[in-house]
Amino acid sequence: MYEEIFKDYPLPEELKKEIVEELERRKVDKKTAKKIIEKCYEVYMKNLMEPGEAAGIVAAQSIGEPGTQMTMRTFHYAGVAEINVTLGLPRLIEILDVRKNPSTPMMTIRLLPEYAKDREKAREVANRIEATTVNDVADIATDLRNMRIIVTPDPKALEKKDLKFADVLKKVEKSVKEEVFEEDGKIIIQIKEPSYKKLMDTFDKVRKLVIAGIKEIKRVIIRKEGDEYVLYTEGSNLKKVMKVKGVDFTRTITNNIYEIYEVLGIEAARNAVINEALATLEEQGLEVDVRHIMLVADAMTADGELKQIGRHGVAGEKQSILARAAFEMTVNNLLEASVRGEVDKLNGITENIIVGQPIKLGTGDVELVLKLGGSK
Amino acid sequence: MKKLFPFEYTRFEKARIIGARALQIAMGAPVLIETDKTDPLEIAKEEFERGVIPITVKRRRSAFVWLQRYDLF
Repeated sequence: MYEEIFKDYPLPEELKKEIVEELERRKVDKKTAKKIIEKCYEVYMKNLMEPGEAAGIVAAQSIGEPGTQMTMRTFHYAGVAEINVTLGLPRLIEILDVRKNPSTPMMTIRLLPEYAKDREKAREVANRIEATTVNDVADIATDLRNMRIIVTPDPKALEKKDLKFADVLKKVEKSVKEEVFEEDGKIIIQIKEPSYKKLMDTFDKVRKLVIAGIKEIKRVIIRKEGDEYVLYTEGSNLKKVMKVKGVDFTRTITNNIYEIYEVLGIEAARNAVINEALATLEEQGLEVDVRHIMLVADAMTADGELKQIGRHGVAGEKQSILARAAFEMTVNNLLEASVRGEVDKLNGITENIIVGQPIKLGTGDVELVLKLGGSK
Repeated sequence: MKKLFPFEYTRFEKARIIGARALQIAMGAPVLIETDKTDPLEIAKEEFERGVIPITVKRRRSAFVWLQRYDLF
């Protein structure tokens, strides 16, 4: 019922929601509501940033200053069941450089309601995801005299992982290009060439061969949080995990931002950048207002793809030669530009500072004109 | 001025106006108020407060974009 009042006082959606919530809670009548909304609007307008403000530089300083107080340590994150996660400055660098393979990928997988309350079902899903190699379920030995590899599956281990002998045989046959046959419960791989190297290579390949689960997921840990079971994994493959039966794909997250970009799109990637950066800073005990990080995330994702802050991304794509040369590879940039006959239009900040002209920020952005009409 | 956001001069515009006026006074322009002050900057500030400076700001319409408020522009 307060909707019509908002027509005269346009405010952002989030703010409107909060105000309406509070007004409804206190059951305010329309006249008082109008006065309240008017006051909110006034305060909101007074708090807006002025055009011309150097928002980018303020954001960079606001993130950079606490950055100097971050430690370079990469701790053992003893909190969440022995999984190592990169923290602090190295993690922030990973986020801003858009590293496609972060050093400690980790996923938090939540399950559908029927699976979340049952420990057995949770374990089932975990087994389906965790990468099981031949090494985990069988004993592998080389038979040098006959030039072959003998794989002895352990029935107990097979049962624990819910696998059958036939599955193992099929997987081995598919990946090894040598002769494979079964001999009283064991899988024999016969190497035809008399090459010791071939034998050892095949041995290594078979040992690491993934029979079940998703290749990238090295370890899965089940923890009970509140009244549901949650899976934490070491290793990340968002696309495949989301398709696994039992996984609630609306509540599954990963810390590999590039994967989120590939699977869920650019807006999701933007949110992931903001959340991860905020979490990294908060974990170190530093408080940075979210809008500075939002500005950085927007600069990285504005073109529809995830660009890094660096010479292969945002900084390297500037139009001005002087700005690029001032950033990292000075001589290369100047040389390339002169060979191509590029022209620097001196529109940005860095190049105008270098050349010594006023910049288009703050007072330099003001255009003065004569006010005719005389004084009062 | 009241129709465009920001409704008053931003602090950059204010600084620029007072600065330009102070430069003019320092170079010998006639002063538009009665005052005992001798510092050009002080005189310019007082002129600004009294609203007699004949300089104003030309705002580019595209510079202050606020998506929902087309009635203001």
